[in-house]
Amino acid sequence: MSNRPFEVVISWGIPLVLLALAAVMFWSPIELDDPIPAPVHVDRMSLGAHPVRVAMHDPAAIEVASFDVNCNQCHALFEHDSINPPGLTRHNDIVMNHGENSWCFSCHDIEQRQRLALTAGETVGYDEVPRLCGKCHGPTWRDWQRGTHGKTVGSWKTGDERQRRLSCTECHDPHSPAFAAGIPLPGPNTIRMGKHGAHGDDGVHRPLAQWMHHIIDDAHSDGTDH
Amino acid sequence: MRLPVLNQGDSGGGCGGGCPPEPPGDSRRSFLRTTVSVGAGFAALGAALSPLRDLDVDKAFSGDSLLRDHYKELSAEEKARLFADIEAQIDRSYGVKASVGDPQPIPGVEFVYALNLSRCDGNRACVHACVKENNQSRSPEIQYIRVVEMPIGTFDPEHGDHYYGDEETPKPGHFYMPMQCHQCANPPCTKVCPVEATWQEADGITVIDYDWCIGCRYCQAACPYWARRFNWTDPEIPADELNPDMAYLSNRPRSRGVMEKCTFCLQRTRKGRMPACLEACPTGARKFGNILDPSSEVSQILRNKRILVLKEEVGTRPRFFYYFDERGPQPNEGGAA
Amino acid sequence: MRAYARFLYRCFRVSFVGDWRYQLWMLGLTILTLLGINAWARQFTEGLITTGMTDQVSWGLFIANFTYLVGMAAAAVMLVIPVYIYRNKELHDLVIFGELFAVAAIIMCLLFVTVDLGRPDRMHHMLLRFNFPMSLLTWDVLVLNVYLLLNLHICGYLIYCRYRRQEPSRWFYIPFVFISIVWAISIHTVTAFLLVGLGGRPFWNSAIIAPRFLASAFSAGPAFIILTLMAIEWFTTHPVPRKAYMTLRGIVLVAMTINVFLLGSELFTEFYADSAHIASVKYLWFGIHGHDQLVPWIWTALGMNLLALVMLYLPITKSKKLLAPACLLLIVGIWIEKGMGLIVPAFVPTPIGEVVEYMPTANEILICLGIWAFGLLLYTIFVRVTIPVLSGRLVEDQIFHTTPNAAAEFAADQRRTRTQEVPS
Repeated sequence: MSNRPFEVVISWGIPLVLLALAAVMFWSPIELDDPIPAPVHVDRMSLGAHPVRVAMHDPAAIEVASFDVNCNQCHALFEHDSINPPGLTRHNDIVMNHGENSWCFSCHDIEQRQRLALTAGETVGYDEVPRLCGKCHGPTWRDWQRGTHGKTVGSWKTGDERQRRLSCTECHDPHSPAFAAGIPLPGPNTIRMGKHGAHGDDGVHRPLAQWMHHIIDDAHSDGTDH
Repeated sequence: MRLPVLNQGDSGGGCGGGCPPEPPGDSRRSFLRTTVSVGAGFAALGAALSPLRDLDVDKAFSGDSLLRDHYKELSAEEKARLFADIEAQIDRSYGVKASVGDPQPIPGVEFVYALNLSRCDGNRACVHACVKENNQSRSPEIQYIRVVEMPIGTFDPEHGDHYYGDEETPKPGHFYMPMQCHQCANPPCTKVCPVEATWQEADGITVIDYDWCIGCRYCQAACPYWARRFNWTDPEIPADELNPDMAYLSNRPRSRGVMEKCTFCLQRTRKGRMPACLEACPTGARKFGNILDPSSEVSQILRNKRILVLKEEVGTRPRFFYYFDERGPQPNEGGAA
Repeated sequence: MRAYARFLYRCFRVSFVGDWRYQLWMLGLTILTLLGINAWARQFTEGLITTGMTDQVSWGLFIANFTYLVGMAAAAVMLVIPVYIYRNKELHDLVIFGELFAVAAIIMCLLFVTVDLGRPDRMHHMLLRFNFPMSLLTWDVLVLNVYLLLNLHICGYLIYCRYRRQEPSRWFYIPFVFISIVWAISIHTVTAFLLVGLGGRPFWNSAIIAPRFLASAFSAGPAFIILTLMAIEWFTTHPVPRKAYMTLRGIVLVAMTINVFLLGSELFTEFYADSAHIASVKYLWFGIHGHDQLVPWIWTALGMNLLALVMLYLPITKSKKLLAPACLLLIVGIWIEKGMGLIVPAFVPTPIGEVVEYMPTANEILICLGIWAFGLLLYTIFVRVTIPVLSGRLVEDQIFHTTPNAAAEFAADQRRTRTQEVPS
């Protein structure tokens, strides 16, 4: 049993096969898939260390016709009576949403509009807002004093000159103190994360959804897969 | 079919080495065949390695030297030289004049983080402020902080949603749990590293020497908080978004194939500043400070607040605490009535 | 020294010699190896992004194959123990094939770990800062390399002695054989501890993993040896006594029974207690939140393992015709169960509850195939060289029989014996 010709084919075929393989690998016709998703755009303005809002300084002033106007400059001209918010002719940009506390003079002093009213006729300036808020929000005021509520920026070192604890009204709108709900910044978009959830909107089970998201995307282009 | 045995020289020619009895012609032919085959094999080996021609060595293995020492063994001069090299490399790659510093732990300071779960509203400002401050790769995306939207009634993140964001937050009936490196006092990640490329510093921050890491990802498997990230390829950061205030052990640009993680922004915090995630947080849910200072905010929190230690049973003794306020439902949260 | 170099050169030449089936087999393995090198070069150029791994599932096919092959390497000990402790005669001339396979398997293990590294260019950092004894990975590096050296020494010494027609000095290898027995168990235990020691991964953090590792290794390993012996018997003149198969079959049977028992214990504990730690197990066996990529695999593995076990218990596997498929089923079944089935689920869900599934990429699979092919290539060469040495045809002071006459004689001789044994 001689398979000599076959042997020759094999022995000369080997180098040929290897050379063909070399050519294929050198010009590598197969492209790798690129799993890197495009970077998401994030509004850099929303990431600053600045306070959420600008609070009133002391003495308080508002801008009228591009002039800073002191409260009493106007309020000296008005009667000091119990104005209800719905009847306002000025300050009607204010939205009151402070629970039961809907009366202006719970916080603003009825006599001196530059000041804020504590109890029993005592008043404080706008730079002492936490004391005013503490009238009702006792535990929160306590926490703020300890630093367990609120926001301290600049430095973590006690006594560092850069350290600043934000006042109540630098985060909360005093007339509507709860934070508004909002659309959060973009969520994770890591490699090969796939479309979240293998269940489509219709509840149909698709085990391969993770890996075939481009196909699924076409079928569900409303993008509410959640 | 019975096949001929293999261990004989009867097939295909060739011999077991030094075999004069064969006819000289045969031997020569077989030798030629072997040589040609081996030659073709080497050609194929060369071709197999040909993808390496696309390798950008400066980008991929920047500033690496085979003879470099471990960070802890570098002298002051060596460090200065090394940091200058890194700055030059950043200038080459990004055209940015960065300063690479090496702030050391401050004696008498041990950092602790506290996060108020009653306040976080899931806005993710911390996530992106962190990315910006710490020069994380934008593509592929690397983020140190993961915020999970959790239904009220559980603390098991498995029930949470990592990808929320189509609707406004806070969503009624849910709370938000940001997770990042817990800077454990008993860190499983540093224990497992085979080359000591990651370790815990005196102020409690666990750091990585990016130039020493071999990329085995054992630490990533060990971390119970999923706090470590790997550079699966060369990171990409837009040059105009690069933060030039860098530290060797924290936010200098990483190379491919190495781990990275949250360092409590040591380039800021070791100079007395607050971490970027804290300063960006619009709700004041994040607190940071020195636990060895009894008047610090974090000391106050640990003394006075209800604390949750995530996965306490794993025994990692984290320096990251969750806490709660006595606080009723807020009008827009629509929680329990 | 010169004589040894000449020995190596002759071995090298012999490895190129063989009939057309040998040539084709080696060509196929070479092609796969080269494709693997090509895929690895691409991975080295692009980064590990070419794999299917993610931050969520950060270990995949490479580590799965690594853990599986550590087991295969340890399996050599299942031949060594009967021979050196129980003085089993049938296996005596075959034990070397187990040890040679251990060498090939360890080399494959080391390659799998290397391709999994993000920065293989920094391997030498291991020599400069070695986190021993804290890191179990350093333990693993140590035990694997020492096991490799032990087996290289034992095999190399015995073969070289046969080549020089010397009686091997007992003091020069018997102590190492006994060390290697302990060592084989240690490589497996250490590799299991590598995973078991991670408190943050409840799927691995279970004391039963190390015994399960050993049991599965001691069944898949000898099963592979059985197939190897069949191939040796089929393609060469090297005698393989029938009793050897039966001894190995007994070992596989017992180890596999223990393996299935331990698997059952694990499943009972997880599912009956039904604690919060069950998520990964549930993902593996039933899927969670609609993610169930591994489910068909693990049930296939279970089916294969059980079928193999039943076949082994029945007398039908006393015939080699059915022993081979039973061994094959078992090898593949354990590969799935212990490779993908043990590594990947530990990452799903992530410790903070995210579910991202893992699917190896083509490039990753090519690298794995390349390493397997290279390992088999090495093993084929080892066996190819060893057989003529053992049978006394490749010795120092003699020319290797290559004359057509001698070959024909051997072939005829072999055909005769085989016909007697297995009528077909």
